[in-house]
Amino acid sequence: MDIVLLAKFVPDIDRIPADAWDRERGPLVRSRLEMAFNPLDRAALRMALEIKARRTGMRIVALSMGPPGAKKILTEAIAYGADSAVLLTDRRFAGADTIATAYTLSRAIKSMSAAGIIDADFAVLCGMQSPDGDTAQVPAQTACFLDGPLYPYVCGLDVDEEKIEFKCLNSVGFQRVVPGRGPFVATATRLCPDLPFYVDLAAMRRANETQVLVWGKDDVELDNRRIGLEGSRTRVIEIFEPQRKHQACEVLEAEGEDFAARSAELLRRLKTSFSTSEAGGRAQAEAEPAVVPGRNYYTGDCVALWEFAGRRLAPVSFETASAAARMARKLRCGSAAVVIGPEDRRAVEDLQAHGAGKVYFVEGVETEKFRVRQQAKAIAALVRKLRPQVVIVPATLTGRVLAPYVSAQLDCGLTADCSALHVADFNRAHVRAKNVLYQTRPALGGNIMATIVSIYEQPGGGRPQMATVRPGALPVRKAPAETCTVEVFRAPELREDFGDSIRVERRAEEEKEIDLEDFEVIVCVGMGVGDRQTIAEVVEPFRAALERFLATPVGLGCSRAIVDAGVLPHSHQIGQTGVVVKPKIYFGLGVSGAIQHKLGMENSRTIVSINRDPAASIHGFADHAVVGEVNSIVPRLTKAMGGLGG
Amino acid sequence: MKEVTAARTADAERLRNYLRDESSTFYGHADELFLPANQAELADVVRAANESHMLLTVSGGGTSITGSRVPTNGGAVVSVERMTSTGREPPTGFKEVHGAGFDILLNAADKTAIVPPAITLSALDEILARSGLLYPPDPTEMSATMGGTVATNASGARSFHYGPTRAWIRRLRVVLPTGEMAELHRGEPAAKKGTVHFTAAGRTVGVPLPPSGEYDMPRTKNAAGLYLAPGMEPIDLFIGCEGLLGVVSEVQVDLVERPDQTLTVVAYFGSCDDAFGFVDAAVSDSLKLAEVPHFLSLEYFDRRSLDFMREAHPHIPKKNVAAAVLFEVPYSEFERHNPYPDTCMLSEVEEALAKHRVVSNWAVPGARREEVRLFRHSLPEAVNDFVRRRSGKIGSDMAVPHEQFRQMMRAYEGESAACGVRFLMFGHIGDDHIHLNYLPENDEEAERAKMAYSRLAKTAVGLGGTISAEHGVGKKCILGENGRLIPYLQVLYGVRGLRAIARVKKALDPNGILNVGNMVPPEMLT
Ligand SMILES: Cc1cc2nc3c(=O)[nH]c(=O)nc-3n(C[C@H](O)[C@H](O)[C@H](O)COP(=O)(O)OP(=O)(O)OC[C@H]3O[C@@H](n4cnc5c(N)ncnc54)[C@H](O)[C@@H]3O)c2cc1C
Ligand SMILES: Cc1cc2nc3c(=O)[nH]c(=O)nc-3n(C[C@H](O)[C@H](O)[C@H](O)COP(=O)(O)OP(=O)(O)OC[C@H]3O[C@@H](n4cnc5c(N)ncnc54)[C@H](O)[C@@H]3O)c2cc1C
Repeated sequence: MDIVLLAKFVPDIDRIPADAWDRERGPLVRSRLEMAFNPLDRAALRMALEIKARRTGMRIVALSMGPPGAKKILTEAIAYGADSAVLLTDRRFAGADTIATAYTLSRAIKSMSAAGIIDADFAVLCGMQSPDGDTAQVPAQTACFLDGPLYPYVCGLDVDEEKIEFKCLNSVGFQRVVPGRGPFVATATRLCPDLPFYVDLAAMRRANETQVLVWGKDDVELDNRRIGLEGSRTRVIEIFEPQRKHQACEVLEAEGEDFAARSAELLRRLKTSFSTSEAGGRAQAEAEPAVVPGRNYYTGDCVALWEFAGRRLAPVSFETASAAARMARKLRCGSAAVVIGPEDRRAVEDLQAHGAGKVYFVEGVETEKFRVRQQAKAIAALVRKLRPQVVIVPATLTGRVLAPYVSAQLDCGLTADCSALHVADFNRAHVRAKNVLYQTRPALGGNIMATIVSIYEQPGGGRPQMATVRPGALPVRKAPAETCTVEVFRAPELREDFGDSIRVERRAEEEKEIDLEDFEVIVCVGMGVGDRQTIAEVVEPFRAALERFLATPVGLGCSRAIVDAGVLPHSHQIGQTGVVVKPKIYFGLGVSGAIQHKLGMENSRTIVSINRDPAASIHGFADHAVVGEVNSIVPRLTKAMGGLGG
Repeated sequence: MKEVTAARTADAERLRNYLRDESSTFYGHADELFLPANQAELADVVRAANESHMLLTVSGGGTSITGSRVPTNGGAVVSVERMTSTGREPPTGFKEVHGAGFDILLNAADKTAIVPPAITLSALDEILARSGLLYPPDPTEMSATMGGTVATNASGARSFHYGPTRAWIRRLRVVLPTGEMAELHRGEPAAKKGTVHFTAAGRTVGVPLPPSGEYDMPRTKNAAGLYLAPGMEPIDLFIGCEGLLGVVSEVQVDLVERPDQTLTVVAYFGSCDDAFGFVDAAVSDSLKLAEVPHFLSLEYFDRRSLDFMREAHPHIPKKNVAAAVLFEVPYSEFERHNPYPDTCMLSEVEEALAKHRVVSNWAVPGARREEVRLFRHSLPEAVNDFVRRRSGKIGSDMAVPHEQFRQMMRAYEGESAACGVRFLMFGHIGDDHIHLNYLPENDEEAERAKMAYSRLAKTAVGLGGTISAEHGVGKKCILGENGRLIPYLQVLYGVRGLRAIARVKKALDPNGILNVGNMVPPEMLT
């Protein structure tokens, strides 16, 4: 077996130069970003190298579709140990969305196999996503076009002379996958180790001496209408900045009369921005335009996909169901929900309460093991039968890989991780489309927002407009459907004889302590808090209340001064000599914001400081400053969160 | 003290951060903190302190490891941290550029910039990177400020090629201890007849230079003591003066074009002799490399340092490895979209290393420079962190003339083995400047390490070297002959040399208020 490594040349979003933000020219000038080897693809290459080290005669071939500059990362891949590399570059590939990209890649892989560059039996390894789009769609769609299984979210690898075993994340914990024959696609997560930062001189020499194959459109056997702009099923309508970051710090005086009201308002805003991912949420605030009567461009129902949490529907299912119902009211069509699994009364009641007029249960699919291909094919078969106009999928661990596999099956557009959906007319160029779905999502690590539509030339083709939505981003509304019909759909028989085996491991009850970097919300204590007692009596209750309020784990960090004082161990230290964190919300409690501390947290999306000194350095770069004594303010905020509810 | 316009506070908590530095050995006390926002406010603070005979200690980034910014004798602290902009209109040819919270005035055509004292080296680098320019001095600690690095004549790995801070200062503005402003230019008339002259606030100031034989500066990279030499330029008085002679309020630096790319190589050797042999050949240019224009840096890590770093970088090879040399060489793109140097250059470097029996090597292209920086910085940081939690660091900063280098290394090994305290060595081998760090587990070990350190300082001076090549001496003391503490600088210059410094100090700071305690003991100033 050989390995194809997908390598993407991406903007380095960890190091956005200040001048890339050019207000005159739009939100973010991509040409000013430095380009790099997608970090998760590097991790995938590392896995490939580990496998190759245990196999004789195995070849690793790196493949990239991109501008001529992408040759850089292919040369790097060779230096690290890939045997050869193919660069797909052609102006006619430009403008490709995920589906056109995946199509082109899969065709190129086929051609590579035909040309003997790789064996007929091969595996595709790549990162689960890339930081520019963050969609996680290309790997699943590529797997679909190769008609092979997808093993997403690899977080560990066990390899010896006999077998390869991937440890993959799934919604209940892990599954251990021993792949069979190829082609299959496996994707690396952030939990996989990166390549080292060095090679050796001889490896550089070898890379210089190895020719990177450069292929254009005509070197690959493909359907011209499925590549580049023409092959894309989505269109970007608008790109805008999420919110002007760090304009000025908003100051809240603890002594002010309206403190209670204003602090409650602040907490509410933090909560909204936390779940919508854009600080302040422009797309959210936007009033939805009224729907103009007339014949809609698309026909069919709005369909929402489910998500389970254990045996019950997960809360996000109600978000997708509510969204589908809301869209359906606008479009004056029916609203339906799809659940994989046996018929279940309680699920029906719940979904009906959130507006579903029909519920479909898909039977005949394995649910314990997460087999993406099998589930996706069943859903695609149902969608083909229902011919809906909108399909909304939760952007959860499972939804984010299931949806793209389905979209590739149906050849429809897909927008990942939407934080807002609305219906409006599309009037551009020669296309006039009434009431289509506008899908708004963050991109480039949340540095820009994009609004996307799917316009198909033949609207009657049964291709839905499809989106995954970020959990917590859309409102849940109880608006019961008057009636609700239930139907059981038997998935078509599907041969899954890839010779693989999957073993599910539920997560152990007590989770291992996660690293500070992994928290989306961090409470950081500085010398203004100082001692253990205050941490136990003031900070801990605040942290626990935040966890309930935002429904997310909240990490505890500290400044070095706290470590020096022996109050917390070094593993909590944020800063130049500690960890570098980028949470969605950082709370600094009595932290002065010294430069070395700032280096470790300045890229947090929202920075809130509680400090009695209005002139503290941290207020130079915080978004919100609550000025006053920690001991008096923090308990008040803790109490307020109780009042506002979780 | 009288009214001043600058912000001030006596809040103990606010002050606490200014009472120590990164040495973790010096602790001070102060009554007040001044935070001037511009040059006029700064001058005002100094003038007021001078008038009321109040001790004043200047604080920059606080990264010194010599106690130089610690107010051990009390008084007040003045921090320049709010001076983030030069606060003036750009002269012709300059334009104002913002970045990372600072403003600088940049003249890209003339490759020069005017910068405020508070700007950190990392911020300056971030701003300059956008114009493809580089300020070459690169002390490892990039949160150091421009003012602090001028005051300590800081240097870094690339000082091997570029020289120390001193070489890059075109013009300085300083607030003299009297509160008067002086402006000093590179290339100004040199000292004549044993006196160096410059003008400040319209008057001519004369500073007496020591007679010959009283103050001989070592012929190595050096940051110990004032720069005093016949024929010197007045600007050199202030560079490396550790704040004794004035507060830096504005700096005009020289810049160079950023090297296109740099290749970093970490070469692992089976013996120290092989490593030294390679460095000798690189320094003396006997490698005769046609493809390598020059070495930007040459750094050394001994086996113990590698052991120490292995915790964060587990892949550092262990087997048969006795030492490593890290070096950087510039290169340019030889082929579009290829990140590496061309094959001729790679082969040449490989061959040169093979001649010195290299065991293995790591090679890193320019694009991954940040990882290299972190890799290199991880060692001093880990060492500082280790000792902060134990008995304090005893680290050397000595350098000797190249011919004496191996003898000095033997002395380091010999003394350290004899004293039986854990130690490691790393540093700027291209400049014959190695940091020997003791890692004492307890106070008793610390005492033994200090004794060894004293002997080594004397050995270095005996070999014609310096006791501090880059960190400065600050308030450091050392065990003297009779077992009593003496100022560290005395080892290099003797009591006569210290008196020479005190004379210069008194000429510029008659009331003895500024940064008292650095270099010479306070008693000598009265
Ligand atoms: C080389 C080097 C590396 C370093 N690395 C790091 C690092 O990785 N991480 C790091 O954090 N630091 C680091 N430091 C230290 C850094 O410079 C600061 O000293 C440190 O961050 C200060 O911590 P602090 O903000 O908790 O304390 P302080 O600076 O003392 O600030 C305390 C703050 O709390 C406020 N306050 C006090 N009491 C109250 C109260 N009752 N209510 C409300 N507010 C109150 C005060 O106004 C003040 O702003 C490093 C320093 C150096 C030189
Ligand atoms: C991990 C680590 C690595 C280091 N590596 C290096 C290295 O490679 N090379 C090197 O040279 N040093 C190194 N240092 C030491 C230190 O970073 C330098 O001495 C630096 O120049 C100090 O700058 P600062 O801004 O922090 O000054 P401070 O520590 O605040 O002050 C240093 C001295 O300068 C004076 N001073 C500060 N600002 C002014 C001003 N505006 N006007 C007049 N006097 C002023 C102070 O009074 C004091 O005497 C290292 C330190 C650490 C912690």
